[in-house]
Amino acid sequence: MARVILSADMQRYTDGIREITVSAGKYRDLVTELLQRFPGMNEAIVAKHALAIDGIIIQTPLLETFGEDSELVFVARIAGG
Amino acid sequence: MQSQRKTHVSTTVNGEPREFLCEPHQVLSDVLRNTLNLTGTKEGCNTGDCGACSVLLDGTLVCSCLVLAAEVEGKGVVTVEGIGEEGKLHPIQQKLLEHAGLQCGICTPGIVIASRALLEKNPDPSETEVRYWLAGNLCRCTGYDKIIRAVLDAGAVMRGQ
Amino acid sequence: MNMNVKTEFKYVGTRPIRPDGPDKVTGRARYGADLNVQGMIYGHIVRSPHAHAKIKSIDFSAACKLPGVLATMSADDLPEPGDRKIPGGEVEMALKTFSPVVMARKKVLYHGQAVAAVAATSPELAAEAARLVKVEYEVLPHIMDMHAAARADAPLLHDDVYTQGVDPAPTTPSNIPTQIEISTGDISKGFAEADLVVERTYFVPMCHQGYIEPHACVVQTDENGKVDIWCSTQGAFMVRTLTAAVTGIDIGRFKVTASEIGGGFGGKTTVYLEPVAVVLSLKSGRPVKMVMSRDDVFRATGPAAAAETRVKIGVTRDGRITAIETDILMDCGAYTSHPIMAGVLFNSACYRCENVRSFGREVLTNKPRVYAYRAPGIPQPVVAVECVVNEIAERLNMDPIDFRLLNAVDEGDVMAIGIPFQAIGLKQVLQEAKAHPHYTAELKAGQGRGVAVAFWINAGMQSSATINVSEDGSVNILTGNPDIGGSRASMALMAAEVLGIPVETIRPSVVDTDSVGFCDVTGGSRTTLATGGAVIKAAETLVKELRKRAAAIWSLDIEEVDWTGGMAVAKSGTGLENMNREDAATRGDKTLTLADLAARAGATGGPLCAVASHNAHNAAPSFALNICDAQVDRETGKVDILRYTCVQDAGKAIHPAYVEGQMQGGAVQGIGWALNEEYIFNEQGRLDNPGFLDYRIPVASDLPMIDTVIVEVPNPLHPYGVRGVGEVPIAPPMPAVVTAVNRAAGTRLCHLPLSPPKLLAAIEAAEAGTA
Repeated sequence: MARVILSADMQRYTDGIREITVSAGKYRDLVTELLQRFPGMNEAIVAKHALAIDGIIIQTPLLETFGEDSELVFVARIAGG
Repeated sequence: MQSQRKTHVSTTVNGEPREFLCEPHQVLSDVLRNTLNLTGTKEGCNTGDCGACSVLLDGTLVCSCLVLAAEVEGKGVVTVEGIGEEGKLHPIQQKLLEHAGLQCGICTPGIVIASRALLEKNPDPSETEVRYWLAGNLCRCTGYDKIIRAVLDAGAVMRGQ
Repeated sequence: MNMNVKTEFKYVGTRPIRPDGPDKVTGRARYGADLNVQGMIYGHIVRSPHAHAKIKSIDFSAACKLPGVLATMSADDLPEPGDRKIPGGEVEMALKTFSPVVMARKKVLYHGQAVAAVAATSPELAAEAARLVKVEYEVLPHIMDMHAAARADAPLLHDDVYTQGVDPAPTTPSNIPTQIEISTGDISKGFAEADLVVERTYFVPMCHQGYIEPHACVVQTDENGKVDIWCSTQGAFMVRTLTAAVTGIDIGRFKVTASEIGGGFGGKTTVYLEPVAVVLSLKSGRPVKMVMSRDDVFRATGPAAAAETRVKIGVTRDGRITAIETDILMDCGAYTSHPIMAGVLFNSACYRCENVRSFGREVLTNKPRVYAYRAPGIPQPVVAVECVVNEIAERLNMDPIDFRLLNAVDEGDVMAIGIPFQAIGLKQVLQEAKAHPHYTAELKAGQGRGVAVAFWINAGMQSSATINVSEDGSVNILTGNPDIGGSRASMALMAAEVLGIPVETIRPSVVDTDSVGFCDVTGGSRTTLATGGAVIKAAETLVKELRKRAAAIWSLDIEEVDWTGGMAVAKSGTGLENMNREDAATRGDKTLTLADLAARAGATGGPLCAVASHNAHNAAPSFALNICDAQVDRETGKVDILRYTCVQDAGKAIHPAYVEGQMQGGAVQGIGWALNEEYIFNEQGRLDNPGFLDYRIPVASDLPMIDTVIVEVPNPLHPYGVRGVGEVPIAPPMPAVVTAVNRAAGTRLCHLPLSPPKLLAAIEAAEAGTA
């Protein structure tokens, strides 16, 4: 089960739950699992975030996969200059 | 303003005789860039604050955005295009490249002109003298360090050291 | 995910002269305003004389009567933005937050905002026509102070902005578009465990990126609907995307060519003039040139956000940080732009701390919409965090670098937002700084020293590259990232490393949007990492192709052919590294150079070229440290920066001279922001200092040499270990300078800039207090 840390923005739809574990191994399944678990959340909210997989921030994670021991963090997208 | 008659100006630019017509209010940087197509002279402010338009007018360093084009009648203008010899960079240009004394490069033509004016007047300037001489040439990219080193080094080359 | 990071290089890490250098020192290089084309006319923008007003009507009739006026435009010529979201590269942007910056719609929200435009046969005539455009306004009360704007009863800038990030979702609009809070651990417990708690509030003013080249463009349209844009920008593809969105014209009709760019620093990651020139060109059927004045640049582009940051840090007696709390109020000007995100997420990312709470709000005021400026959102709160860290070290009687070493993050530590660090170089940076002679040099009476560190996340994103081999074996590299500070040289170095050919034989070009695949902007410290990554990838593809061609010529299997020293070598074996042709011949190996293979390209399958498409997921953070010595003239309040040193982890410095240049340039921008640079608005909401005389950026005589130390802790995710380098340098200077100045002057000023009048008043107050 991968460990997922939800962003401050997402926690607003999870009753303040910050950390969960998921059975998903692919980003797409992860999104499905999140939406099932937290009906208040929707795809647009998830899509606003980048996903850090084991410390590597991925802006466009659509096709990403991860392992059972992975640490996933949803993080707001940051613009540089 | 459009109905005013244009002024005819005969001048020398980079050693070559040039003639042009200009409006009485037109500044030299505008004529150099847009009439004579010498776009090496840059415009960053048009108020004499940034130094990007520096040229030599009868050997004197000026901001060409503050000189009326009509004023150069009978005078000699040197722009960045006239600094190096044919097919060879001037030592100031060469040293700016070797020291990476430019990033975006927009201030570089002005720095080249101003530095040449300095080194002609004072072939062996101190770091402080270079810094004060170039205080009218703004650079936002480099923090000036590599520019100052390049000018000091160019001075040494020009002195034959 | 870790890969083999190359550590031995032949070309990478050397300092060749940049390929575009000769053009730039001779004036041949062409920047935004340097293009003139046949039949060209000139656009001029009509700007708002009010800081906040309704646009009741726009009357072009008097302007149109002038002979030579060929087109006019206003927001009526652009599609309604509605709620459209545009992929803006790193973050999605709502069209309604930037379309009105190009051309105001119904309302103006800051002095100098574009409301209309005209095009005429000369710049003077266009300016004259612009003066004749009659705009009728209904003036509204303006709000310049962010605290006032944040109050519930404040007059509203927008009636459709509802604070995001608040529960339950607000039902009334406000001037606060975004609120965000992150926390980890238990902040109360953290402060309860502390032996010392220091709390301070710092203010950083709005400032401008200050690039020397004003925005400029030339637009040509043709009978087939093709739109050609030439402009000064950090990203030609970004110009294509945003201009298409603002004008409603299909992306497929655009070709955008980025001119050489005279500085950007984040300020040229958007469009201002381009959509206007497109409309004027379509309406007039003529090419249209537009160039901003310096006054326009200051009033209507950039700036960077102002912010007030309250920071509270708790530590134990032995110097361990137990809690960090920050509260940021950020003034974003008239439209939402979200620089607050990085500020909230990363303001204390240098420190290991179990209990963190970080809160931030963006506020809208009647000032220009802020845009990115080098590590956007970070320098403002970092001033507060780092100055308080210095104060704490002083009160604990600890060396400020030792204090930081004790609390510094390292590989495996987890950021407040939950992301673990990979290999990072903060500790090495701190150790290098401590060992630097500057750090232990003696200070005289009346002088002060400050140190500060900072973190920046760096970006990856999308890039493409094409490599073409000429018949003689010379190589062209095409990318789409404007070269803002030596990136062509870096691209050539990385390609030389892969191909094993001299860097001088490689010609890197920045080409238009029709000539190479998509590239995100030159920004976010991403070009060397991501576009360089695409170049490496394309070069590797080319090498594989070259081996295949050689194998075909020799009737061998590709696996029997190596590529080394710029040539294909048959009978691969050991000891091939750095072999030259003579060595190979001595060994009896068959070789084919790149030139040999290029000459036979036609016979072996056609031209030699390679393309790479890359989405870089391997960005890695940077840390930077500055040491500043300052002296204050107690009679005038003038500050002299006596000595300055920058230390930064670059990962791998591809072209070290240009890495140093980023460090030095960023430091000096930060020094300027600390000491002099600020937007000064008057009671009418007009900028009082829209020129370089009154908005004083640092000049050569203000500064000493800026010493640099490049630390190289390789990014474990990049084949050459590259991190980003361009942005983090602007974050440590402000706290380093502020600490040095306050120590020199015996003051504790928290309100930037530390300009002479302010400093003089503080010195006099301090003297009066002690007298």
